[in-house]
Amino acid sequence: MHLTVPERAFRAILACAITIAALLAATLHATLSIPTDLPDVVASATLIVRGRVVDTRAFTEIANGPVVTAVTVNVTETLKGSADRVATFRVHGGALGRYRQVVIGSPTFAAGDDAFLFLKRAPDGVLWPVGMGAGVYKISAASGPLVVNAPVVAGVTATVGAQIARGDTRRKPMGIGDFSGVVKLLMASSTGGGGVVGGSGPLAPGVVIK
Amino acid sequence: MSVPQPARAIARLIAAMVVAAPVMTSAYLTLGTSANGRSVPTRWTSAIKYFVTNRSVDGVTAAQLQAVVTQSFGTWTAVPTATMSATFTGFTNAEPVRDDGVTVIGFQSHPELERTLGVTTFTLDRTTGALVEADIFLNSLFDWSTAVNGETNRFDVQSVITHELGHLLGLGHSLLGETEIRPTGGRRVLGKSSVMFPIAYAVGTTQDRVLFDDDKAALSVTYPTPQFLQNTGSVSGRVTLDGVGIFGAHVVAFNTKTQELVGGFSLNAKGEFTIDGLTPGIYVLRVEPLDDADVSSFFEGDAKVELGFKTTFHSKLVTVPSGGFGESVEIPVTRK
Repeated sequence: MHLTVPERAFRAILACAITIAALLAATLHATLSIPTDLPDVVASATLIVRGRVVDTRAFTEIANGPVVTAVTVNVTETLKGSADRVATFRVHGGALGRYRQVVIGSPTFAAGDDAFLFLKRAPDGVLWPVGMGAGVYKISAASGPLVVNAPVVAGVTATVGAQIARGDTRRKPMGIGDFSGVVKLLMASSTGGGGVVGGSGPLAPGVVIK
Repeated sequence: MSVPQPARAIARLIAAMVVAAPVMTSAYLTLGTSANGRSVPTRWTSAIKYFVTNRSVDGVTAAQLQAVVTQSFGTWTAVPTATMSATFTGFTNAEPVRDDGVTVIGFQSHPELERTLGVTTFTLDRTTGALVEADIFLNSLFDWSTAVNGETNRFDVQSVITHELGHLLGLGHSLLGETEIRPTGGRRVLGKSSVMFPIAYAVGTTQDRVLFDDDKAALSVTYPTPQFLQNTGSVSGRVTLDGVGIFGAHVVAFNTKTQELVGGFSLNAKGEFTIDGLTPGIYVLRVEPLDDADVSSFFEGDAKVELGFKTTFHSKLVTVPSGGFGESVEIPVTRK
């Protein structure tokens, strides 16, 4: 059965329920933070490159150990740090023979993938994406020109101090030049200590459950 | 108790690398894989038997971790509309994420995962899609607590373990949560309607110990009791953009009477979605893009998730009957 009602009524009902939940949570937990916005990723990365994947190789470092995949890219642009023409980083999980180890939240790659990569060296010197998939922005040409999914950036694609609204028209797929521009803007901003474009506060550290 | 070391790893290392169909988060909040052209849900077909690594960290002993894991498993197994069970088998010196054929939960240090509290891993047989083992580690890079009311500046073991056990049981991430950007930078969670929302509350909070309707529905769909199938209903339909189905649209069903919120995704190129496990009643449907989250945390690999549309409410209320599907709906969305 379908009942036709005004969309405004729908919005009021759902907005009310969600707002109540949000207010309760905010009251109980006033200092919550997460790192998946691009400013934090940019600040944390020691190497930011655009690269095309030329090889993926799964392996284990010890017998019966965790499977990791080494991803090798041809570097086509370096935005932060210093990179050779080829860079290799690792991601958790991968397929070896008959079995595959799946790590929830870990990005996967295939030869030919073109992506912006935000990488950081672990204490042992190995490069990993910052925040698992949060440090990977794949480039797509599915609908014509090369585009990247728009990141959440305060003051650019989201409003500071307001709930991040899904469907926000500011977060359209971005051209790669625009994306690079945002990253450079954030780099300039972060060197000044700001986590928000044009802002002045420190970046809030946080964590993600994967 | 020690864990046996099978020879599976050896076979794995010497076997030829074969490209198999990708694993993807699929089919309504649950995990699955594709093997030999068929979809195989990632679920347990018998009681789960798990070990806990005999390692303490600052603030939490192995025994305390085990007690919390048992409690969190109890949270999931107490869902009356689902039928599954888990048994603690013993402490072990084995590490999580080892190819040993058994399920191990414990602390492990991962400095390369500086933003990740906990991780669940699966080993799957690529030829059959069968679940071989699953493990969980909590990242000992962080400070942890098992205090009943939480502890300032320490993450709550029970909250994070409850989330990870959801994965271990076969559930993927849920998008039922809201965040904001703080004036000083960085994001924070405003509220959640699922413990499977992938972004953590801050240190000291214990809010993720309790399941929501979305979590219970997902678990019950994966391990249903006969009564669950009889007493709940489903809504299904298509999400279209410019008349063409889209993949990866998040569809939220809101029960106008009970205020139950359950989410799902359109999971094929036709834009088709199904949300099972709904309390019969009248629902509002909302469709929104996954444009504020890490897409790879929900869908794997080359999944072409459509993000370029506006949040849209279905123009009609939908009635969900008991024990079946209501009328299929089509929800057109507009480009940003």
